[in-house]
Amino acid sequence: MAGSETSQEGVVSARGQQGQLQRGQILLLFAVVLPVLAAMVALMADIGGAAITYHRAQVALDAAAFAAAQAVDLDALDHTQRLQLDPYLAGQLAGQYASLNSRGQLQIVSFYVDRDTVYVTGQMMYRTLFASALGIDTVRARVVSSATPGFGIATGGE
Amino acid sequence: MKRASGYGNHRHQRGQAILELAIVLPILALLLGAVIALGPLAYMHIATQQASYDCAIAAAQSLDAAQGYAQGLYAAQASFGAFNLNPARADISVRGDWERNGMVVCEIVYSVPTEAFPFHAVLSPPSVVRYSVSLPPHAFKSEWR
Repeated sequence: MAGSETSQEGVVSARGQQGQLQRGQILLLFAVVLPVLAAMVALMADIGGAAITYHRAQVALDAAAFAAAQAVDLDALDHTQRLQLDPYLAGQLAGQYASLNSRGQLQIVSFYVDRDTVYVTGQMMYRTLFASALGIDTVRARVVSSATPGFGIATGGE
Repeated sequence: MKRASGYGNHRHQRGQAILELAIVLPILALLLGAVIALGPLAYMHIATQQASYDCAIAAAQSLDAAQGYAQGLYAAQASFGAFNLNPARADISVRGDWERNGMVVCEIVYSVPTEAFPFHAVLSPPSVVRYSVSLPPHAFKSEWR
């Protein structure tokens, strides 16, 4: 009987210890997992924001290149019968439309005109929301674009 | 007595586990809801940007206002279709001056289907996505009538 009691005490004691171990296990596990999960969500938010910024920059730069390609040098066209762009006017138009389509956020890094084609490189900065905790304050979206003037006769559906 | 105390302890443990889960689960659910909402939101932003650009490019191909308007509208709707988004949710505005040295503006306001996102009442995602693109019409295109 005495042996049986000792055995029962042992079982209860073991259960008690196990209970103490189990108590707070979910909270402990959560305390470990939560920062990881939160970091993943934060990373997703920043990756999404950077992707939106990159696309925004590309759209604004394409628009800038398209506008710059309208700056046909009419004097040169009259005299040489060759289609070429006026670099000064093209640069002005590129800057104007880059700013207009990005709310002043797109910065034109390089601008180059080769006869009738304009080549532009731009960059837009994305200020991170959460990655700054890891020391990444901004992400630079660098985009390139080129355009040539459209000419001819506009017809229906064109 | 000891046995009974052991069962009580076990019951207490279960209660504790349920309580802990009740604390943890809403936070986990909110995080999951944020993850589920972020992807489609970014996608709608990019789609709306692209649609407004496509709209402006198409509208700028003509020097005729009616033609430019129709082209811009069609291009924006086609763009949303290509992104598998409902064009009916987009409020597309094509306006401007279809003259040489003019400017056409395509502005799109896309209504985000917030009700489709989990925990939208708590997370309150933005209800609209708005973008506009401005372009000069093709200056060296002639009109053939």
